[in-house]
Amino acid sequence: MVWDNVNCNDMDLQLDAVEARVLVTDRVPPITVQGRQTHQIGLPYHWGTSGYSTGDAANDLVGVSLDPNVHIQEDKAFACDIRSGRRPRGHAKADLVRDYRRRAGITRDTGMNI
Amino acid sequence: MTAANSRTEHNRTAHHRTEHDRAGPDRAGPTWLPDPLRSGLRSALDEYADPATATGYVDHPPRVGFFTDTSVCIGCKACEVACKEWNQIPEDGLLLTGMSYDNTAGLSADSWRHVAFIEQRTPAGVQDEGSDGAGEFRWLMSSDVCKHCTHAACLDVCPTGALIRTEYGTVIVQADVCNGCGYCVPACPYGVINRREDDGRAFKCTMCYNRLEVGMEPACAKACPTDSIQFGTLDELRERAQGRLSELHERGMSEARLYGEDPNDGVGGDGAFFLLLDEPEVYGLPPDPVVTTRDLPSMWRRVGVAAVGLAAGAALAFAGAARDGSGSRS
Amino acid sequence: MIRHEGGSSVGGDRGSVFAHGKHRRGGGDRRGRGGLGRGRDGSRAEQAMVPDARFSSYYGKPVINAPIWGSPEIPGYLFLGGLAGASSLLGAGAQLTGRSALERVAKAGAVAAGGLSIVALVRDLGRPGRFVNMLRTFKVTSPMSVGSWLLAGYLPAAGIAGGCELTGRMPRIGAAASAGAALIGPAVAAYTAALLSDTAVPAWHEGYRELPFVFVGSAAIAAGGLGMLGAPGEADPARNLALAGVCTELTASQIMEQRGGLVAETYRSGKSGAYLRTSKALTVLGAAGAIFGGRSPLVRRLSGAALMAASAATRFGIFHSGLASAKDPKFTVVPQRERLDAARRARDAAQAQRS
Repeated sequence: MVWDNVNCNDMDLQLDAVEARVLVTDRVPPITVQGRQTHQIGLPYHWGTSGYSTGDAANDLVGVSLDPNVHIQEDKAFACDIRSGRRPRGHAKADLVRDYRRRAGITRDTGMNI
Repeated sequence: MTAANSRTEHNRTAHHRTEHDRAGPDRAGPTWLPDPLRSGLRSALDEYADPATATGYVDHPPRVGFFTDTSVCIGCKACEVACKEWNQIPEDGLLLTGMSYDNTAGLSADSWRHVAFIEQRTPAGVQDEGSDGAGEFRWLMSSDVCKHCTHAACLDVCPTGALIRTEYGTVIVQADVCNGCGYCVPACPYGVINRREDDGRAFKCTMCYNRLEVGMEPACAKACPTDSIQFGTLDELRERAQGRLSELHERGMSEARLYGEDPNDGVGGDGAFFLLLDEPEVYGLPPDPVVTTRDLPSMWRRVGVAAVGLAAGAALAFAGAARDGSGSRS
Repeated sequence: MIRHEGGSSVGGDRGSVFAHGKHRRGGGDRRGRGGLGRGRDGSRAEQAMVPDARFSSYYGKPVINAPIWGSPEIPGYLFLGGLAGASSLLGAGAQLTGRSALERVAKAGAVAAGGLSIVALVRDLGRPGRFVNMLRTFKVTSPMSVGSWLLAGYLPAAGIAGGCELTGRMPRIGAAASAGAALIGPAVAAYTAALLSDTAVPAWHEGYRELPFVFVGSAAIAAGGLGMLGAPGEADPARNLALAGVCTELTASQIMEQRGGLVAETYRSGKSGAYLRTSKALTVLGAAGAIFGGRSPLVRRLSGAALMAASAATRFGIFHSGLASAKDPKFTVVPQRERLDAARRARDAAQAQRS
C-alpha cells in the first residue's frame, strides 16, 4: 500500500495524504528535471466511499490552487511524495502532513502570488 | 428434470453426409458399434470441417466465430463489460493483481472475456527510440475468450449432455442440465470453462447464442471500438486474417502469427482464432493444444485390456490356491 | 508474488527460448530475462548467467484449469471403486471355491465400498440433486458417462450380492447378482484411469498408456489386502491377487514415471510425491508380509491393512500429482513447445533436403 502526501496550505482543511494500491510499471519512465530524477505517478480520479470499490479520493491531494494562466483550478499535475505502507490515521496523519510542510517551508502565503 | 428445450447430442435423426461435409479421412469408429455410440466418436474424431453437420443439424446456418486481431486491441475492456452486462454475469472480485492492467486474471465461470496485458522490452514493429533512452517497449493486449473448438474436449467429456454444439457451430452449456460434475473443467486445453462456486454449475461463453438467433453479433464484438474482435462466418474471417497477417509481415512485424486458425491443429481449428504478436504462451495460451479425446480410443483399449487382465488375475489367483484353500477356516 | 516471464530474452535473442532438452531454470527460480519481473523491493529480476531451457508464461499463471474435484471425495472414490470392483471378483471366486469367510468379507467389502463411492460422488457434484442427469444420455467419448452407466449396473448387483450374503436370504439371487457384479467389477476398477487421463491435465494425460494398469494393480492390491485383513485363514487367493497387483502396479508406475518426461517431477516431489513414496513403502511392506509371513493370521492381517493403505495412497498420490501438474504452467507449455519446435525442425530439414 502506498500513501501520498502533497504540498498544501496550512489551513488544515484538506485531507492531504491518501493511500492507494500501486502498480509499478516500466511504461512511464522517470524524467530528469534540473538534474534530479523525478518519477511519475498516475492517479485516477473519483474514488470515494460508496460503490463496489471504495478508497481514498485522489482529489483530496490536490491543493485548492489557481492556475495563473487560465484561472481555473490547477489539478492536473503536482509534486508529491510516495511511501510504502498504510497511511496513518487521525492525529498521526495530521502530524505527518505538518511535518512535510515544515520541511518544505510551506506557509499560508505559499502559492498565493499570482 | 430436463426442461423442454434441453437437448442431447444424439437426439437428431441421422442423415446422409455430403461430400462438402468431409475434410479428412473417415475415422468413423468400428462398424460393429451401434450408431448412437459410433456417432459420438465420429463427431469427436472425424476431421469434418463443419462441426454442426457432424452433430446432426440439417440445413443449418454457416459456422460463425471470432477473429481477434490483437494488433489493434487498445485494452479498453469494453468487451469484458459488454459481456458481463449482456449475460448478467455476477461480479467476481475487485483485485489489483499487479499484472499490468489485467485485473481479471483469466477466463472463469464469471469472466467470459479476459483482456491480457503484457509489457515487453521489444520493439513494436517499426518504432522510434524514445527520448529517455530506455529503448524499445511495446504493450501487448489481447481479448481472450472461449475458442469454441471444432473438436471440443469439454463437449466430449460432458456426461450429462449439458454441453452441446449449436447450429452455428458454437459450444454452449445448458444450465438447466448441468449438475456441476466438473469434468469439463480440466478437459479444456485452454483452461476456459469453470464451475461457479456459489451456483455449482459450469458456465462459459455462449457466443451470445440468444443474439445469434435474432441475427445480431455477440455483445463483445458489437462493443469493440477498434474492431479487434471481428465476428462473422468462419471462412470469411479466415480470409481476412490471412490478409491482415500478410499486411503485418510486409510492415516488418515478423512476430505476428495466427493462432487457432489451422483446421489441422490439435483441436481441428478454433471457432474463435487470433492474430498474436508473440508466442501463445506469452498470452497464457497453450502453444500446441490437443483435444484430449484424440487419445481416447487408445485409452479405452487399454482399459479393456486392464479389466480383462484383472479378471484373469483373479481367476489365476484362485487357480493357484485351489490346492490348499477349501472349506471354512476362521 | 506474481512474476512475469518476458517473452523475450536480453539482447534480442528471441530464438533460443530452449537451449536444450533439459528443463533447468537459471538461478533456481523462474525469473524473466528482459521481462518485467518485480522483486519485493521493486527491483528488476536477476538475469540468468547460463542460457538454459526456458519457457514463457503469462505472469506464471496456469494455462489450463486444475480439476475442481474435492479431496478426499474423488481420490477416495478412486480407491473405493477399485476396491469394490476387485472385491466382487474375489467374492464370486470365493463362492465358487467354497471359501465362505473370504466370500463374506469380499462381498461385504464390495457393497460397503460401493455405497461409500456413490455418497462421495454425489457429494462432489456442484448440484448433487441433479445426479440422475448422469443417466440422461450415454456418451462413449465421456469416461464419466460410461462410468455412470457401469456404476448403475454394478452398484445394485453388488448391493444385492452383499445383502444376500450378509442376511443369508435368497442365495440364488445373491449368486446371480454376485456373478453380475464380478462381470462389471473389473470395468469399474479400470475405467477410472480413462476418467483421469481423458483431460488436459499433464500428469494424467501423459500417463494414459500405463494408468489403467496402475489402477487395476492398485485395485487388486486393495481387494487382496481386504481379503487378507478380514479372512486371513482363507486368504490364499486374496494374497495371490494382491501380489499380482503389486507386480502390475509397480511395473506400470515405473514405466509411467520413466516415460512421463517433465511431469514425472510431480510423481516425485511435493505432496503427491510424498503420497506415492508412502504407497511404495507400504506396498513393499505388505508384499513382504504376504510372501514371507506364512499363514500367521496376525502377519496376514497387518499385511492386508498395509496393502489397502498402499492402494489408497497411490490414488491420492496420482490425484495430487495431477493437481500439481495443472497448476504450474511449465508442465503444459514446455512439452507442447518442444513438440512444435521439433515438428518445425523436421519440416525445415525436409525442405532443405528437397531443395
